[in-house]
Amino acid sequence: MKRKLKHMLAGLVFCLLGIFTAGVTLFLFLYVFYKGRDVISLSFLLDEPAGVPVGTDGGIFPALAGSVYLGGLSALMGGLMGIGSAVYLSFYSPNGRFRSMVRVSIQGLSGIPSILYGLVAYTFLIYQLGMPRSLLCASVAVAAMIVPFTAIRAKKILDEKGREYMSNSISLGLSREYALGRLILPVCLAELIETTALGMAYGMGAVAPILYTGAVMQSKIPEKLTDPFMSLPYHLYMLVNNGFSLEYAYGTAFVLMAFLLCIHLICKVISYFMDKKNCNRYS
Amino acid sequence: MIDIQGLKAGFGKKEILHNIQLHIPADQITAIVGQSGCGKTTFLKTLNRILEDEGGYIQGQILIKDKNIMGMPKEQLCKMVGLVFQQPIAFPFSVRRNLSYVLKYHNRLTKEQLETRIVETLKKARLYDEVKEHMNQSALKLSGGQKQRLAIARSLCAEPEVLLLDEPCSALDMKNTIAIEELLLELKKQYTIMVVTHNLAQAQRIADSVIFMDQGKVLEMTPKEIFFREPKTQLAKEQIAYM
Repeated sequence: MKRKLKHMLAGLVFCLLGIFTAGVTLFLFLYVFYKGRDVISLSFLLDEPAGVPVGTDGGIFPALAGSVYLGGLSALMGGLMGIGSAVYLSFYSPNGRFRSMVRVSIQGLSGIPSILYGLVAYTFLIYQLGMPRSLLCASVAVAAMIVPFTAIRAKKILDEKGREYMSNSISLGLSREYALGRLILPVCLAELIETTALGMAYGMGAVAPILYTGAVMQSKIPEKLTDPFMSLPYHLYMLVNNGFSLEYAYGTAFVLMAFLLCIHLICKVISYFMDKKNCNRYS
Repeated sequence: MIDIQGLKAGFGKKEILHNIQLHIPADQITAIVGQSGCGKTTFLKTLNRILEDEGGYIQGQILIKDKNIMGMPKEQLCKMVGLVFQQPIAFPFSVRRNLSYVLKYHNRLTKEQLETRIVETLKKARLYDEVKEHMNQSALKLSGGQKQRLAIARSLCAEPEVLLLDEPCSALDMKNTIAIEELLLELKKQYTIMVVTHNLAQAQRIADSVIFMDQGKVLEMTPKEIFFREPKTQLAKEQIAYM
């Protein structure tokens, strides 16, 4: 009887914790939507910011586009570097000091506050190299921030799915590059894309790395990599920090949250269909 | 065929194999037997140096057909000395592509030549009759025994001179074990085969010679008949008595 009661209690506690987590997420979405409901409209999404101070009227389209550009560029750079490091750690590095060094560096990077990426990028790229505050500089800072994110996850995927395939391929006299290109990367592709896209979403939501490196309060959609740009989280930060308009801040916040959620959902759908395609291919 | 002098191997500071001296003759099956953890698999992995990829070290001299494998490029060595792992792995491709994946890397073949080689190899591995209707289906759907024969077929695609098998039947039922054993007996006409097994009865059924190992040392290497009739060590006697 006692054991049954304990079992029921444990089930109840874990169920409540699950409901609490889901509840917090739902509450956040609904609360932000409720607070910003009056400004959210199609024109809010598609117009440029207006009003004095800027952002108290009009829309957020340049910020939305800037976030997409920033996310895409940083995901491209950070994803490639992260997956490359993971491939090295999983399949190329001998079990030695250098491997440990790379692994510890990646783990160390993941613990660095995001503002430091912005500060280093500002000092090195803008102050030392004389580059303009731009989409490129901000993307480099964000890419550096998402490298450990993608590297740690990509290594887990490659270790789980690729280790046996690699050792079997090597024992057949095949090169590592051949096994990677023909077998392991195609098999892991869906999950690696998902990881990169999640890194992109993580980078798009960050303010600190772009604060000094490229984000501005008002600009057109960037035409060149060296143009400054607007971004949703930075726009939100400025609206709240300067007390311009809480209503517009909540509207921006809701769009940002919905946009990041959409990226997650798109990733899941792409991953599902790619896996399904792989399964159906030979069955 | 294979001459081993002063072989030591291990991981970091831990030495697992201690000063092994052996001569393994060509075109026969040599079974490596011994208790779990005695170094059988480690020994097998020194013969194509895959132990180094797992972070281990190998010292000493291993000559295969009078060539020292320690100075040989790894790809060339692994092509010459094929290894079939304990757990049968089918790559997530069709049965056909599991073989063409290896054949295409090692050879320049036309489509027709490739198809001929695939069929020949599957026949050699005694798998063709079972899969000929399903060549384009996923190899992941094969049974454990079929996957193991597919893994052997894949190894044969690299045209090895030596075939190493690490407990190839440990996860298989009796029917599949017999199929693999018959296949190995067929293959020994063309390949030098070394099989790690903890099953002494299996060694008695298929091997020509037996290497008996304990605690990283080779206690004896003798023809099968002698090993099972008059084992040199007390440990071997005890294990044979419990067969």
